[in-house]
Amino acid sequence: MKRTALLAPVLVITGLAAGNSPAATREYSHQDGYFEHYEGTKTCLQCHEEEATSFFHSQHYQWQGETPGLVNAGGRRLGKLNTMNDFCTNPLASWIGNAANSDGKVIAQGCSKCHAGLGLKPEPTLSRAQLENIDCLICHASGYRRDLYRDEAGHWDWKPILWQNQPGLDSVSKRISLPERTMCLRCHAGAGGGPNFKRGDLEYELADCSPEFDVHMASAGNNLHCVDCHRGDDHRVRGRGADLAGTDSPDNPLTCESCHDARPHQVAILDRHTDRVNCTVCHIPTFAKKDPTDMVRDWSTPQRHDVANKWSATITMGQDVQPVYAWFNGKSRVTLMGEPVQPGPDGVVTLMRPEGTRKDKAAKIHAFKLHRATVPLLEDRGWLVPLAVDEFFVDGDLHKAVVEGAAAAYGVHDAAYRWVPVQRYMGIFHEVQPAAGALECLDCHREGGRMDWKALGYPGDPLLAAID
Amino acid sequence: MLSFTPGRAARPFLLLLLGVVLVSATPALAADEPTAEPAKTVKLDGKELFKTQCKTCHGAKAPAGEYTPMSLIQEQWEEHFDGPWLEIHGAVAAPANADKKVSDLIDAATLEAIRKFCIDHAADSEQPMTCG
Ligand code: HEC
Ligand code: HEC
Ligand code: HEC
Ligand code: HEC
Ligand code: HEC
Ligand code: HEC
Ligand code: HEC
Ligand code: HEC
Repeated sequence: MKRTALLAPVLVITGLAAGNSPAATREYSHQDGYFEHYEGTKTCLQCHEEEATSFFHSQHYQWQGETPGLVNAGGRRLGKLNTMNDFCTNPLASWIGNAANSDGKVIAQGCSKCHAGLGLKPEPTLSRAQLENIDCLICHASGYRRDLYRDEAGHWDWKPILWQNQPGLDSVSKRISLPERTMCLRCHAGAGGGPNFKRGDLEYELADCSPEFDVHMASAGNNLHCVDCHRGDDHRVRGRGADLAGTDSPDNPLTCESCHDARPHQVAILDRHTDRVNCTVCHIPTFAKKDPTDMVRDWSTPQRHDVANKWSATITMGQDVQPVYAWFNGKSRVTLMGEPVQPGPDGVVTLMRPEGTRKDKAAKIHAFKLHRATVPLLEDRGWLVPLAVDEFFVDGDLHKAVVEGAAAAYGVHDAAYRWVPVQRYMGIFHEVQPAAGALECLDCHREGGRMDWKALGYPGDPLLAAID
Repeated sequence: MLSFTPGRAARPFLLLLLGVVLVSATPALAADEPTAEPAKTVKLDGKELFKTQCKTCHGAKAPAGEYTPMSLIQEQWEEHFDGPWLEIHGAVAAPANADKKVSDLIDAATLEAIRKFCIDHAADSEQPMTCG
C-alpha cells in the first residue's frame, strides 16, 4: 500500500526523535571540527556553496517564483515581493529598520524580519554578496536568535544577538540540524504582525503540542516536523496552499494523499466523500485553538494603543474558528498590483479566490480561513495601494502611510485614493485532529449544518436526495 | 465496522446509521489534568531581582560590562554561577551599600532566583530577554 511505503521513513525519523528534541539526542559533526569560529554565512559557504546556491533560487529567498497555481498570472514570477496582501500589504515601502515609539521602544522592524536574509533585498542575479546574505542559521541552528542592529554608517543588518559573544555564538552556530518545528515557526507563527495573526493554523503551540491540538506534530505522539511533510529537494519546499502566489515545487506538490490513501477509512460511506470533500474539511473542525487569529483588518480606521504607545489597523480577532467551505481545484485567481480591481456584486474585491465549482470534477470542497480587510485603492486607476506600515505604527498618520506606499509601489505622488473592502481565502491544513475528533454526519447533514448547500451548488442536502 | 454501498435497499440502513451516530455522539471528555499546585514557597521574582541586584553595576555602558540574560548562552550562565560569580563578586565592594562585598549582600535564595531567570531567558533559550 502506498501509504506504508511513504510513511516508513517518516516513522523512522520520528522514532529517533520521540520524547526528546533532536537537538538533545544527536551528536553533531559540525561540533567537532568542521569550523572553529562562526564568522557569518561565509563560514558555511566553505563547504555548502551548492546548498547556498539552491537556497538563493528558492521562493523562501527570492520571494518570487513560478506561478502554475494561478489562472491569471500569465507566466509571471510572483511572490511576496511583488504582490499585495491584506495583512502587512507589501514590503516595498517597509523593508528594514527599527521603528521606535516615543518611549524608545521598538515596535516594528520591517518586512525583512520574515526574510531568510541578513538585510539585503533579494536580487535575481546570483552574487557573492547575495550568497553571504543568506541566513542559514534561522532554519538550521537551534537556540539561534537575531535582532536588528545599525552600524555607524546608518546601515541596518540582522545579526545574531550573540554577535558580541563569540564563544556563545560559536556554540549556537554549531548546533546544526535539519529544521525543527521551532525554526520554521520563528517566521510562520509570527507572520502578519503577531502570534498566529496570519494563518490561523500555524501557531507557536505546535512547537510542543498535544495530539488533540495536532495529531501529526504532537511531541508526545507522531512528532512530525514541518520538514517531514514539506521537505523537497534543493531547498524547494513542497506545498503552496491556496493563497500564495509563487510555488517552489510545481512538480512536487504536497497533499494529504502524499502519505495517506485517498480512501483511508474502514467506513465505505466516508470513503465515498473523499472524491468531493477534501480530508481537511472533516479532520480540521476548527483552527486558532490557542492563539487568536486576525480575521478582519480594517486599515481605514487607525487604532491607538495607549499602553503599548503605538498605532495599528483595527483588527478583529477570532479563536477556535470554524472554517468556511468552498470548492478548490488547486488553482487560484489573484488580484495583482498595478491592475484594476474587479469587485464582486457585493463590492468586495477578492485578492485570492480558489477556482472550481461542483461541476468541475477536479475540484473538492476545502476548508478556508476567510480573511477580510479594508485597503486603499488608487482613485483613477483602481489599483491596490500598499501602506508604509512601520511609520504608521509610530505616528498614526494614515494618509502619509498611503501616499508613501503609492510612491514606493507605483512612483505616483500625492496619490488620490479611496478605501475598498477585500477578502482572501486561505487554506487550512494544520491542526488536524485525531480520527475521533473528525466531524460527524450530522455536523453537515442537518438543518443549519456546516455546509451551505445552495452556495456550494447543490439543490439541497444530498443525503436527503439520496434517501428520497 | 460499518461498511455498505447505499442503493435502494440500503436506504433504511442509512437512517439507522444516522441514528447510531446520533446516539454515539458523546462529547469528547476533557483531559483529566491534575490541578494540585506545588507547595507554595515565597516566590522570588528573578527578573525584578536581576534589575535591583545586578543591573546597578551591569547596565548599558557600565564599566563592569553590560550584562542581560541574553548576553550569554545557558551553558555560559551555568558556568558563571558555578564558580566565577562568587570569586569575582566576593572581591567587589558595593559602594551604595556600606562597601559590603556584593556576594555578602545577595543571599543564596536570591542568587538562585536570579540564576534561574538568566538561564530561562539566555540567548539560546525559548524566550531571550534583556530584562527591560
Ligand atoms: C568543513 C565543512 C563544513 C562546514 C564549514 C559546514 N558544514 Fe554543514 N555539513 C558538512 C558535511 C560534511 C555535512 C554532511 C555530514 C554531516 O551531517 O555532518 C554537512 C551537513 C549539513 C547539514 C545537514 C544536516 C543534517 O542533519 O542532515 C546542514 C543543515 C548543514 N550542514 C548546515 C551548515 C551550516 C548552516 C554551516 C555554517 C554554520 C555549515 N553547515 C558549515 C560540512 C560542513
Ligand atoms: C525567515 C522566515 C522564514 C522561515 C524561517 C521559514 N519560512 Fe517558510 N516562508 C516564509 C515566507 C515569507 C514565505 C512566503 C514567500 C512568498 O510567498 O513569496 C514562506 C513560504 C513558505 C511555504 C510556501 C512555499 C511556496 O512555494 O509557496 C512553505 C510550504 C513554507 N514556507 C514552509 C516553511 C518550512 C517548512 C520552514 C522551516 C524549514 C520555513 N517555511 C521557514 C518565511 C519563512
Ligand atoms: C527557510 C529555511 C532554510 C534556510 C534559510 C536554509 N535552509 Fe538548508 N534546508 C532547509 C530545508 C527545509 C532542508 C531540507 C531538504 C531540502 O529542502 O533541501 C534543508 C537542507 C539543507 C542541507 C542538507 C541537504 C541534504 O541534501 O540533505 C544542507 C547542507 C543545508 N540545508 C544547508 C544550508 C545552508 C548552508 C544554508 C545557508 C546558505 C541554508 N541551508 C539555509 C531549510 C533552509
Ligand atoms: C502532516 C503534514 C504537514 C505538517 C507536519 C506541516 N504541514 Fe504545512 N502544509 C501541509 C499541507 C498538506 C499543506 C497544503 C499544501 C498545498 O495544498 O499546496 C500545507 C501548507 C503549508 C503552507 C502554505 C500556506 C498555507 O496554506 O498554510 C505553509 C506556509 C506551511 N504549510 C507551513 C508549515 C509549517 C511552518 C509547519 C511546521 C510548524 C508545517 N507546515 C507542518 C502539511 C503539513
Ligand atoms: C508526511 C506524511 C503525512 C502527510 C502529508 C499527512 N499525514 Fe496524516 N498522518 C501521518 C502519520 C505518520 C500519522 C500517524 C500514523 C497514523 O495514524 O497513520 C498520521 C495520522 C493522521 C490522522 C490520525 C489518524 C488516527 O488514527 O487518529 C489523521 C486524521 C490524518 N493523519 C489526516 C491527515 C490530513 C487531513 C492530512 C492533510 C492535511 C494529512 N494527514 C497529511 C502522515 C502524514
Ligand atoms: C466526510 C468526512 C471525512 C472526510 C472527507 C475524510 N475523513 Fe477521515 N475520518 C472521518 C471520520 C468520521 C473518521 C473516524 C472513523 C472511525 O472512527 O471509524 C475518520 C478516520 C480517519 C483516519 C483513521 C483511520 C481509521 O480507520 O480509523 C484517517 C487516517 C483518516 N480519516 C484520514 C483521512 C484522509 C487522509 C482523508 C482524505 C483523503 C479523509 N480522512 C477524509 C471523516 C472524514
Ligand atoms: C464535512 C461535511 C460532511 C460530513 C461530515 C458528512 N457528509 Fe455526507 N456529504 C457531504 C457532501 C459535500 C456531499 C456531496 C458529495 C458529492 O457531491 O458527491 C455528501 C453526500 C452524502 C450522501 C449522498 C451521496 C452518496 O454518496 O450517497 C450521503 C448518503 C451522505 N453524504 C451521508 C453521510 C454520512 C452517513 C455521514 C457520516 C458518516 C456523512 N455523510 C458525513 C458532506 C458531509
Ligand atoms: C557592585 C557592582 C556589581 C554588582 C552588584 C554585580 N556585579 Fe557582576 N561584576 C562586577 C565587576 C566589577 C565585575 C568584573 C568586571 C571585569 O572583570 O572587568 C563583574 C563581572 C560579572 C560578570 C562577568 C564574569 C566574567 O567571567 O567575565 C558577570 C556575568 C556578572 N558580573 C554577573 C553579575 C550578576 C548576575 C549580578 C547580580 C546577581 C552581578 N554581576 C552583580 C560588579 C558587580
